[in-house]
Amino acid sequence: MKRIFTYLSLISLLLLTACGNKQTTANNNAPKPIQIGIIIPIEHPAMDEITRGFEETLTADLKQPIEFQVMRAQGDVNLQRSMILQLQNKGIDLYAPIATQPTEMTAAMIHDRPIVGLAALLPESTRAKSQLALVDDEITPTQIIQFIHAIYPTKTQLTLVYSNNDKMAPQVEEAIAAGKTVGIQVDKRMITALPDLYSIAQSLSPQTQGILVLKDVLVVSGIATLSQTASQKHIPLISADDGSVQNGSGFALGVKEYQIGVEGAKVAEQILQGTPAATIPTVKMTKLSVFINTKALTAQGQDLAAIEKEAAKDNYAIVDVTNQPVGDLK
Amino acid sequence: MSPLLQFEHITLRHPSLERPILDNINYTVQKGDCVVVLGANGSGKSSLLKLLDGRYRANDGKIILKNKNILSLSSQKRAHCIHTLTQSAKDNLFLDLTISENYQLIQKRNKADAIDSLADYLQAFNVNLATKLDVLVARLSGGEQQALALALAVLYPPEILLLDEHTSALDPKTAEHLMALTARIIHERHITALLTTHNVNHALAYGDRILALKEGCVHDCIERSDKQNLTAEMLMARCY
Amino acid sequence: MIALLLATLTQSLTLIPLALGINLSYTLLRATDMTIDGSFVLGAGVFAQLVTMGISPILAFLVALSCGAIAGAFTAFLQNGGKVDPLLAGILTSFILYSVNMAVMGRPNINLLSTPTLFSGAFAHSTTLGWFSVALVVGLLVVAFYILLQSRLGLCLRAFGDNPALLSRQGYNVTYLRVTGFSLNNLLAAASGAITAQIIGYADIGMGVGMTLIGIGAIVLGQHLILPFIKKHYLRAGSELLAAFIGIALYFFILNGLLRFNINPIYLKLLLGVLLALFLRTATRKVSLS
Ligand SMILES: Nc1ncnc2c1ncn2[C@@H]1O[C@H](COP(=O)(O)OP(=O)(O)O)[C@@H](O)[C@H]1O
Ligand SMILES: [Mg+2]
Repeated sequence: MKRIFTYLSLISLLLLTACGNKQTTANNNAPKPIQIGIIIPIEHPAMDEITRGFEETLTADLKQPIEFQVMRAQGDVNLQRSMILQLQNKGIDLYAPIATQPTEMTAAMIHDRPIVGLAALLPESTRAKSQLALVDDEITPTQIIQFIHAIYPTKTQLTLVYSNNDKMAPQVEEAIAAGKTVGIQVDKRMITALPDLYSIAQSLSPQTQGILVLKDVLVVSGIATLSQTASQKHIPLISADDGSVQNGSGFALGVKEYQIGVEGAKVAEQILQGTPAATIPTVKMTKLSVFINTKALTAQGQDLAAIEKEAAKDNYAIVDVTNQPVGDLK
Repeated sequence: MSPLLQFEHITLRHPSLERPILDNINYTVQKGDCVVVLGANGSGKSSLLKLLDGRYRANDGKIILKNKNILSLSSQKRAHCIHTLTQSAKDNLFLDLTISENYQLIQKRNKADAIDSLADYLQAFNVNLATKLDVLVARLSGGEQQALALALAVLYPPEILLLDEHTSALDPKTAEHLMALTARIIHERHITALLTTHNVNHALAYGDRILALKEGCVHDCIERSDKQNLTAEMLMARCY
Repeated sequence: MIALLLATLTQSLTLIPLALGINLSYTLLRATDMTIDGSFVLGAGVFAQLVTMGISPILAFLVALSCGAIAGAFTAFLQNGGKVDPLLAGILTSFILYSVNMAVMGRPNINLLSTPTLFSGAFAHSTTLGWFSVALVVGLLVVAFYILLQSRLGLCLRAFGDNPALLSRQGYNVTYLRVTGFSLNNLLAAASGAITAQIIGYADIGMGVGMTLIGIGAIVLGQHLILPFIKKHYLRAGSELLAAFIGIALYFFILNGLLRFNINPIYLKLLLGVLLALFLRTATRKVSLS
């Protein structure tokens, strides 16, 4: 009995599945809208912001009807792969995967359609085989160091806390070099696991005048520990993403997710107007934002006005995230 | 003639039990003997056999097999010398494998003297399994399973065959058949066997010697010569 | 419909070695080996790291397989001669493997888009040839696995799963069999990981999550569907292989098919979960005995 039920349910499911794709639009006389496939790897407000920026900008700028197909993979790699195949089957005109991993997967699977990788960091060499354009959301350590120097021209000692991740090593070197040019000695401290943060926070050099954290998943996940130390010592804790500011860093120079979508839409527009994707240089984010946490800044004894003044000078938007709900990080 | 097997001052304890499971057992088994071990439930019969096949290890004393301490044998060597059958088929056979697969697993040891036909070989054990060689052992009847287990156990006759109530789970008629078969095979192939049972008639009919255990101690030893003039009732009285 | 079948085929192909591995642990060894989640990533990670360093893809692939085998041997070792539950040992190993994988890869994601792989040459020629070469490698693994199942070792592994105590009393080295079995199934998982990485263009630290579950679900489904029709037990190895193929293919057929309905993916996962639960419920643990 049970078995018959299983077979029946399976057969009906298969039948349903097999005829599921008969939903072609019957509307023949209207011009066929441009089909854009957006691939969201995992549920996260940041992903939604990027999507919103992308959709809104493209809809406003492009004077043709557009249809967005948003695929949400829910963190399931197999599902994501199926979704890309599904988009391919629908004859999508342009793919917009969000984050590095979905961009890699799309680039590996799709060769005959342009792809705009949003918030994706990939070496130039990877763009050769597919029609891949990239919007890189990482900002350089040099930009951050220069910003810090502008706010605190008298500071000469900073501690950079980072993790033993291959990705971090070159960034740390760049930060040290950038510090030298503006007279800041960057003291580097590496952690290999989260508990290391506590001992490092306890043994900071007394001379240090600030703590710096880059976009470093491991360290950022323990930012609260560093925030406490910064408050005790009355020195600023500076980071490079909004999430860490929500969790207790004083301020960060970074990018707003919405803006990544905006930049991506501009690239997509160029491609749809005929520019080959591979010839468009990787877009770096120029429109930066300064995220601030006023509570943390007060606790760390820092002056908001100085930060606002420098931000205004560089044309960076100020974003106050003090009481925003704390989401986890990308 | 040196004895095949000697238990010397064997004591077995379990931390949760106050009195020992086996208490200073001394017993000698000659080659070719069929020793029947009698005793009430819990008297330590199974434990005594488990000491031989390596499932238990004595706390005190030693077991000598062919002049060697049994503990000095590798587990592989021990497996070649000693084979156990119990009442539960899952201790004797791989239930989820077929008859021929069970055979292959036993047969591996001595490749040279493989038998010509498994079906013919099994014929000698009063079971007709010729058409069932490719059937899972789990699907056979209890009687077929035990006969098959016996057949495989004596394929390469072990030094000692341990039979722990191997007929207990069968209906009386099948049990009777299997017991007779077992006795015949043991006799024909000169196999030394230690057999536990609760059937005094079987003990009298098939045992060369009888060892009675009570609360972990040797309660009585009946030798070949004494056996002649015993009736089942007398044996019952002596052993329980 | 053709597109649906093609999508199913290509997706199943990369996971067939994994399904075989799970068949080995779940059906033969009778253990739910969670190491697979980790060794899948280990295979992908080792392969990606080695080819990125310029080592030949064939060598990298072989090393990746060996690393998977070592991970499995470690799980076998953790079981301490059968005293520790294999499920627990597997969870522990895959827990440790997370750090190991991170150390091997050096970063959470290594991309292979512009790195020569086992299949990059063939794919550059044509997609058909590309998939043909993937099918060739998978086919080799399948044939090797089938030969193994039919061999004496295969029989011993099956006997090990059925009754390790009896096997040990028959004089077999059970520890050796445990190590061999768990090594082999994780070798296959690592192979699947390495092949998948080459198809999707990267190795990622999180790519193994849920693989064991999908695999077991697929195998149970496949066995439930076809084993009742297999009456001859000498066909068992072949039918188990077939069950693994059918199970994996059905899973992806349903996944790809359901996607076409524009179902909210949250419900999609729910639906797939319910489906798997249904099959796990209706299928008794050992189908051949039911
Ligand atoms: N593994 C064990 N753990 C605890 N008690 C045991 C164990 N093995 C045997 N015993 C105890 O030893 C005694 C003898 O058991 P056993 O040898 O099975 O008796 P028999 O086979 O004569 O019925 C029983 O009281 C039993 O409870
Ligand atoms: Mg007993």
